Amino acid sequence: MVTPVLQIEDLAVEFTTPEGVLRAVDGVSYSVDAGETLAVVGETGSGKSVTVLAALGLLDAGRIVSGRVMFDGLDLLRLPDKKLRRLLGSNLTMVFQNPMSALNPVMTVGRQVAETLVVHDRKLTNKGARGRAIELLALVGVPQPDVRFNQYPHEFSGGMCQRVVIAMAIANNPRVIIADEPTTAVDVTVQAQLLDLLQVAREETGAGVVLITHDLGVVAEVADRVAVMYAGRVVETAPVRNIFRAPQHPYTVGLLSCLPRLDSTVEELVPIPGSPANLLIRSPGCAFQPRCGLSADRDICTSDRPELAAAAADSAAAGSWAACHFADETTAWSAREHLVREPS
Amino acid sequence: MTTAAKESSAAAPVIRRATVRRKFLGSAPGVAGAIVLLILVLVAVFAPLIAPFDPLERAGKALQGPSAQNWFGTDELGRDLFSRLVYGTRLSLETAAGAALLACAVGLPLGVLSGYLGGWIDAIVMRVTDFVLAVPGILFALVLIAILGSGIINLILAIGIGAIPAFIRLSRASTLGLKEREYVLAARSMGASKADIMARTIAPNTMGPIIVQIIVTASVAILAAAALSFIGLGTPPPAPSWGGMLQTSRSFLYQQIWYAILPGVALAITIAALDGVGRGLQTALGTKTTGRAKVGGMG
Repeated sequence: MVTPVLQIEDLAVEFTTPEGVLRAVDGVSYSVDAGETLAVVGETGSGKSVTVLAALGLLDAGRIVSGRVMFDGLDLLRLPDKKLRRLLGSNLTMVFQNPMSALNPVMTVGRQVAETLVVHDRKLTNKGARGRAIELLALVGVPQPDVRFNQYPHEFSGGMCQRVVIAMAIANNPRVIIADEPTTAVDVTVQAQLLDLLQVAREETGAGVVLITHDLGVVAEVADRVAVMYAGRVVETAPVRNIFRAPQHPYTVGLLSCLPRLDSTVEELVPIPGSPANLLIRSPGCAFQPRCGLSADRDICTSDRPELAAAAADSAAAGSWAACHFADETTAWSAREHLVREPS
Repeated sequence: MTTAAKESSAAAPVIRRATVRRKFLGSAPGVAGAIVLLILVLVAVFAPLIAPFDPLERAGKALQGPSAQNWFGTDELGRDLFSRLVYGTRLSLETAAGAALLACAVGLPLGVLSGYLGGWIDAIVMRVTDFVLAVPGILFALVLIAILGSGIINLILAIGIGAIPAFIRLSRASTLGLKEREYVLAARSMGASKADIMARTIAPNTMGPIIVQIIVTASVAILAAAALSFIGLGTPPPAPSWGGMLQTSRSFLYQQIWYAILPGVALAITIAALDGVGRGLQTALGTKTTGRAKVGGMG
């Protein structure tokens, strides 16, 4: 068993709003191993981004209620600001959703890359940083990196900007790269290139990658493992194969059934009924229950909150963990409702 | 690059150097103002070469009209008016640049600090700002000069300090918007400290409106300096200040009308040039909000 490079344990984050206290992240635990890509999926507002921002101490508004974020034997949540800053940008880096706005518009692209190098290696000379930055730009596929070095972000396309952001993320050989919807804001054609690039970056650095996305197509392409989040909790975590073959949580089933697939004969997409859970109302039971087709109003779903439990070792879902009282019924139920299609 | 331009305009208003230049050159008041201002700066810099006489020495009979020797005539002590006006340009521009840069150098960092850190720092800075703004600018400068004494340095201090609040307000407002930008979060995720972020990420991004404010402050400073000199609190005689010349000329309106007109014309040209440059910049930087640039007396 490899020890994970980043381990989030029982993280809970609350926001105080005029309507009351909102628990955006409610006891989230997941971990990522070196060289592994963990995809975190879920709807908008499920707490995917807040979890990582809180983990890296980048959250301004919310309050971290509980939890630990272990990196290299250190709890990031309890690390002094200065020590945490030394890890950020070197050992732990982030790639953001909108590449056009993640770069400083008034500083040349090259200088921004060079600066991430200099900040974490004060001995580096300007000339050395420039050389290394040009190498990095070349590595991420920016053509004519020595010319592009002196250009400003507005002279770059969205995809090129994201390449620069990835160059900055891998500049200091990170051990964890957190990519928050890195391909959402770019064209599909560029999307595939960027995903390849992230894979290259992972292989170059041997880092563990946390890939936050709501695009299951992206998940299928690059993830090794998947954590599905709903209403601030991880409801299912499984190897990527299991997620598509044998989803254990009704919510995962719901996500899959509204995804168009080329390898299936079913024409109809089935949306998940209802709307995302209101985080201001905390029910004692399962947050997905009001929208769940499997629950069928069974009492335990509204009274007890299900914890993550392992699927039977001899089932198709061996290795999956799901937070559902009736996870063992999910496969039969989804087959009956024609929600998950076996490839034809 | 068309797609890039489209995407970036959707994402955030960014300052593009080439576009700024093109837009500025397309603005008539901007170009005219810039040309006149450039000439004025050259006159100020090369005043000793341009002025035919020493501005403080006798150069002919007193209160003469324009002649071949004294182009604009002479004042009550027989000093050459053209030479005095030329040196006056130097004084005016020095005061303008000094006051505007002082106000910017103090106001911009305070505004960024106040906006980014918030809390008690913000509260203190804003209350002091409110206090300074509550006092009319010219009165504020009067009080400061009364305390500090007259002279060009004190004039710059008095006008500059009064202009600080505008810079604080402006940079603070920009900072409040900028700190929510993704690139600030990105910089933090790269391990940048608060000081790094304020100095390298936020401050450079506030420069658009700040540059316009520098120009506006410069023209306000020239008018204020003239006003203060007019009431005898600016640069003390015999310095060839435009305001001082206007003041003295009042007694000799019937003998030498040019004595009164020319400093006024010089002031008007300078202010108009600065106003033009300011408007051109507003157009170019996209900071223009409504019709006219606010240029006028202090208070």
